[in-house]
Amino acid sequence: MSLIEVNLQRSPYERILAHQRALAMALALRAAVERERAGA
Amino acid sequence: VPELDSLLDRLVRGRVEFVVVGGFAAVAHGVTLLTQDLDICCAFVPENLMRLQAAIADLHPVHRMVPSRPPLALTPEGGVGLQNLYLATDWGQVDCLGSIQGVGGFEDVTAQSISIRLPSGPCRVLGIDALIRAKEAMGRDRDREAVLQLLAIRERLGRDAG
Repeated sequence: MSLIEVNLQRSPYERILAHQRALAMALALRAAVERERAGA
Repeated sequence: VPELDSLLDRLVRGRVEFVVVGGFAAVAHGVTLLTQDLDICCAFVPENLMRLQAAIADLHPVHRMVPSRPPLALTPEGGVGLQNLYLATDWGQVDCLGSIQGVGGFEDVTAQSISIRLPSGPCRVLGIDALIRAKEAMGRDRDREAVLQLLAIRERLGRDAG
């Protein structure tokens, strides 16, 4: 099942919450990469 | 970490008259792209601008497109004539737009919006057809990607309805 299909089974609010979790994860990853680069 | 959903809740609880547009509206319709700023179309009338300001006052809003980043300090008289507000807050960026390319002014945007339920109350989001037109009018790479997904979602929803 594609990610869009998964999203379509959610309510708009659930989509926003899922987006929020994904964004938090992406930003944490980016921060970790930036820390790694700064330390290298 | 930006708390855009909470920012949204703030605006709803603050009884700001607005419609969610842009990337966040696309997310609400099922698009899988990530976005970091909240774009809203709102009524640029003094009462609404003062409600907006009050709703985010403790989040230290500043005008982010002005190099000195002055704090948001609207007065009922001073808001007259404003068309857009580009703000940065402790919880993320909020762009408040008076009109949306490809759709029209606040009244047109509202007429082409849907209502969704948030824990804080009902919230209006630009409808999928209008959002596609708005994204097509913007024409940036990320808009084109969003349009592709929105077209697929619309087709999929059409299949379900038919």
